[in-house]
Amino acid sequence: MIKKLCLFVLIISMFNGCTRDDICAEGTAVTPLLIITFKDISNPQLAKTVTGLKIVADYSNNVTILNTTTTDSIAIPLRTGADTTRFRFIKNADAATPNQDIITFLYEREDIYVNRACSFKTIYNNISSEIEDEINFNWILTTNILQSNVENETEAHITIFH
Amino acid sequence: MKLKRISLFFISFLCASLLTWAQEKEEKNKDSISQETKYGLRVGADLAKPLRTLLEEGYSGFELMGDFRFSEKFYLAAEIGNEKKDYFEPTLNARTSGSYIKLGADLNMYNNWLGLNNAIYAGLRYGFSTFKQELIAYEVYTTTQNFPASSKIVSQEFSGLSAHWAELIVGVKTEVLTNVYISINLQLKRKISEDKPDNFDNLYIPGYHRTYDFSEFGVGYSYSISYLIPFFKK
Repeated sequence: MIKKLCLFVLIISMFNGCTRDDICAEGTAVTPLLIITFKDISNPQLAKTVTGLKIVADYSNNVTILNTTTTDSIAIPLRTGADTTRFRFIKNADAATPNQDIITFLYEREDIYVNRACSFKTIYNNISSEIEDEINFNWILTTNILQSNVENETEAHITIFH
Repeated sequence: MKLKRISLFFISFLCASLLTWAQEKEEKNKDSISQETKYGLRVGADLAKPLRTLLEEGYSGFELMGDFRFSEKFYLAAEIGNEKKDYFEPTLNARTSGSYIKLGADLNMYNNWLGLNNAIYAGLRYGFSTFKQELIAYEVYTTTQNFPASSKIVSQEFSGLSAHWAELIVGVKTEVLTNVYISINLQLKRKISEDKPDNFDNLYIPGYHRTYDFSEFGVGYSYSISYLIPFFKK
């Protein structure tokens, strides 16, 4: 009888102990990042790296989203508290003549419950982009929306041609 | 010498047989008195829940219980209760409130000494709860901290929810005064079904207690006092 009771207490303490519910586990599908790939305008199938790319959020605090790097794909966060996010995409950021383009992403937000520890995530529907026209000075020439709903991080959502 | 030994043998033999005979007679007498045990309705209340109501912020609840002995070892048992529980974490605020009923039977596995009415028991219950969940506020979880986290106050209410579960109970009951029992038990629960609120979850179910995201099992305990209303002796 005592043995049975001990076993029962043991089982209960197992369930009561540290569970996966306490912290939001890494790898859980939470708020997705926007994945952008860069391609060649003259050969749209071909990936083309951007030299010295730096991305800054175009708001009063100028938060750096991406430190200067040379890459052909990026994953950047969008604001979960507003329906637009504006960035400054700077090419050749460390060079003598950096080229800065202002791009705004517009979307509709939807909050989806994940679990007890992770709370909610935001997904972005009907995403579109606007590039501020600098008349012949833009390095970003056009964009192509691959997935209008940003729900996960498995595939690229937008292609930027330059 | 020989005579002394023989007489000693006979005397002690006689004494021993007298003694055993006397004991037998006494045991028989005791049996006929105490073989009768009480049958009746036992009613009580959980002491832990009102205590938690006083001490724990964001919790209030009570539970009433009853059992009826219908055979030597089996009792029909039921609990009814009401609970309200807050879930106030930095990223998620919610509140659950509702009532529940648990129906089942207890089996006393303890062989009492004569005249005692204690129990070590195991029980099975079917649990049913109706409740409402209230999503008060949340913060969107993001993997980067570049933008300020967006908190939303929603105060969304999901009412008319219900849940079913099965429960295994192990506990001890002791008669502390005539017909007054103190009991402590542990409960292991398994969800059978539940109504989940749209785009949210049941963080707590009255009677079932807290839920786990990755498990259908739950746990609970009770510490209660009850009174036996004896109907008859058998």
